[in-house]
Amino acid sequence: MATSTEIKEALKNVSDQLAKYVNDAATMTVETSYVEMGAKVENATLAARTVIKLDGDSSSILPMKKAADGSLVVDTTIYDMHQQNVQAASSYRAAILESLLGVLRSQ
Amino acid sequence: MANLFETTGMDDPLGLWTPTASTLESAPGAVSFSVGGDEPAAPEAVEPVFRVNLPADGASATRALEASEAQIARLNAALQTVPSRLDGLVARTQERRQKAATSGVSFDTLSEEPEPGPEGDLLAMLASVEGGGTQGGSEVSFGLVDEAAGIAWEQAKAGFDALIQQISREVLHFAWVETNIADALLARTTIGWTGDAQTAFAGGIKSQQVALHNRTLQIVTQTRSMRLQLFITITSGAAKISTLIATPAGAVLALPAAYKYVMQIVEQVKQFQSIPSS
Repeated sequence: MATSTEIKEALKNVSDQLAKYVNDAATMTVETSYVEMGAKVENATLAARTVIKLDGDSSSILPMKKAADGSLVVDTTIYDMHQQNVQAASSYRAAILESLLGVLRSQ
Repeated sequence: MANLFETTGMDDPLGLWTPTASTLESAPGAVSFSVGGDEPAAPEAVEPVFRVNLPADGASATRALEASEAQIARLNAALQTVPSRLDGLVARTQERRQKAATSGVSFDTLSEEPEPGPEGDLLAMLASVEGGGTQGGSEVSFGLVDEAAGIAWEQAKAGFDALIQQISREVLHFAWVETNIADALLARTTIGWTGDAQTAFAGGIKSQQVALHNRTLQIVTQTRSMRLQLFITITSGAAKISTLIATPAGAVLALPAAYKYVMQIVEQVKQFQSIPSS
């Protein structure tokens, strides 16, 4: 059974971890990869990557493929999937941040 | 047969996910892949894995996710009511105490209008502390009216301890989110608290299946967010409850009492969900 000291310590640990989270939240990286059905782990291929920084900077690696004329064009199918992942990660981050701020306010 | 919503690790206090011993999907015939990059190829034992096993039929899969989303909405709505319910309980209880003090009758005799439901059980739990808990060193001991009350306190303290451990674990680690459709692993995402995410899709996945995986991710997000909300509700509720405890150990007693009270409300929501609609 936890004692009062242990409960206070546990609450402090949660607060400390949440504070560390806020410090680590300066960037968000989203990666999308793909693998053929039945392929092995090492064959997973990175298709797109987006890095978003809190200061407004962002960078992306886009999935490209060769068109019929040999030029490079964006693979819209994979790019759309990646954009959905970026949106999902952004929503996730917003929802969790809101909850974490609630925790910090309650301490 | 696999559960629709599975997770590794401890029981889900919100009852949304069924605990399972297995970690990552490794069924024969299913595609098995990593998310690559710098992340480990498999989660550490402490990292939670959330797995949704959807049927092949798209309409059935959508209904299953909708049912889960509705349950989350009901739980969230119930948690939102806790602060005002506790404010009302504290006000009514203090009013009764003032009347008791001015009329010279004991507080217990004023319990002619008992509080219904979780509020009544909370007051009964607080009343079970006899004459005030004592605090010596780091140990807290309670003078309890009967053994049953002591067991209830122990269970509430253990439950709150488990919730703190679960939150501490989840703050530190990634979540692994898998979507299986018709027993085939189609998408896996690792996502950290900061939103860093790596997703691997099986080749040939359809756009509707990508959408189902994103919905799965949203449910995991809501699950983790709601666990934090549960923690906030309990700790802020404990602050209100502590005003009803006159013993020196009131602040410590308030946490398990608040845990039991809030979880009773959560149980009511879960029972409501389990009643089949006609």
